[in-house]
Amino acid sequence: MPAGLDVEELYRRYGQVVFRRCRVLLGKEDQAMDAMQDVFIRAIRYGRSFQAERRPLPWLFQIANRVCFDRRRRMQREPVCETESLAALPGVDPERLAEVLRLLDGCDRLTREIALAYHVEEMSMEEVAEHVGRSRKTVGKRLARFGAYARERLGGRGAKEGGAR
Amino acid sequence: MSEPERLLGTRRHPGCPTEIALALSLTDGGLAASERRAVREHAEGCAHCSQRLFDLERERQQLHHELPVLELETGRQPSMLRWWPALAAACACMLLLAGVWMLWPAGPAEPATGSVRFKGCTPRASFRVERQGRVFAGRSGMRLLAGDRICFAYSISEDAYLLVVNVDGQGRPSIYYPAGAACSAAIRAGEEVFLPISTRLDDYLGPERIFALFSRRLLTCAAVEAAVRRAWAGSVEDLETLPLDAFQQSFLIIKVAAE
Repeated sequence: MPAGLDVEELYRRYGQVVFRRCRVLLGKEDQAMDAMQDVFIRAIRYGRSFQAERRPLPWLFQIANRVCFDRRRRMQREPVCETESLAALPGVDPERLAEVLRLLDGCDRLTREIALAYHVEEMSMEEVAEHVGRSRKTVGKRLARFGAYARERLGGRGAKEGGAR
Repeated sequence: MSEPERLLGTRRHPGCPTEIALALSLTDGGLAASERRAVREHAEGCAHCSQRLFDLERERQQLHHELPVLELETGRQPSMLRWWPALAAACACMLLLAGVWMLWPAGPAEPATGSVRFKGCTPRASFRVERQGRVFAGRSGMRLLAGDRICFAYSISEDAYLLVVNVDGQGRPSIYYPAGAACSAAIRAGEEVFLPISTRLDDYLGPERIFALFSRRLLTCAAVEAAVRRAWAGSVEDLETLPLDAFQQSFLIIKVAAE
């Protein structure tokens, strides 16, 4: 682990928001707790991939997304607990959330990060761009593509394979 | 470029900070000082965000209480466990007792199962029983008396995590080790290493099954208890393995009343 990366400090600062991200993606609280532990263990193990000039939270969210989407793949037979998803995102229809997350299962890493930041964390496009370290234009393109894909799938018209990439 | 449609609706009020910013404002260093000040000043004048901050603070306190972080890779002891000093003192006392028990050989367990593999020889758990000053090796299937004390030992060729859970005849799990913690404990590689605490059997009679769960990553007690509930089919005899990502070894014991 690089000398500048103190994972305990990261846990103290960002544990809660990482847990909330895991809870949204996995629905069940116990699985989210387990996943959050996994995120910080990976942060210890793969600390070398952290670039000091980057901010820690997007890096932790990247790890969290990877951990949680891997777990979602493994537990496809156990559907996300919708009532707990509802508790995780007040005011959101749990079925709608589950549908959007299912669409993100088929998307690439960057699209997931951008879509989660915009649709789940409700960042503005500028905030998303800063969060993921990409231009506003890139963020706009990815969101537009994912939005079109989602509308098509959620509207029940046709189907594109491979998700928005 | 205009803002794309929000697929999950709009919950964030105009001008209010994001949930992440509010949560980060609760911890030192989560936001830059100026950002933190701006978020706090906003929340002071906004009933919606004030309530969100209150809820987040409550969640944060609960989370930090329930979820200590253990570090396996760095070799440091878990510093975030608030109960660690008390546990360390208790462990030191129990080590004295465990040291005496090391003189006796271990008894066999049931065949080990689990998807996790460890390098070298497979992990092994064993236990010893203390009854009225006598100490003897435990084995799966043996009859034990309410009031007996049992102490577990393990052998493993690499550092890992361990959790010992007992399931009683009604399918109720109790975490034996680490006692009072929220997740499994880091263990060091070693041969016949005794756990620093022993367990006194209560007077709930009948068959029970004790699992030693060796894993490469932390297992939360909540996940283990949920796995017991999922696997429970009405009897401990049939409960051979738990749906967990862990190397498992189990012992069936039958508790009978002391004469």
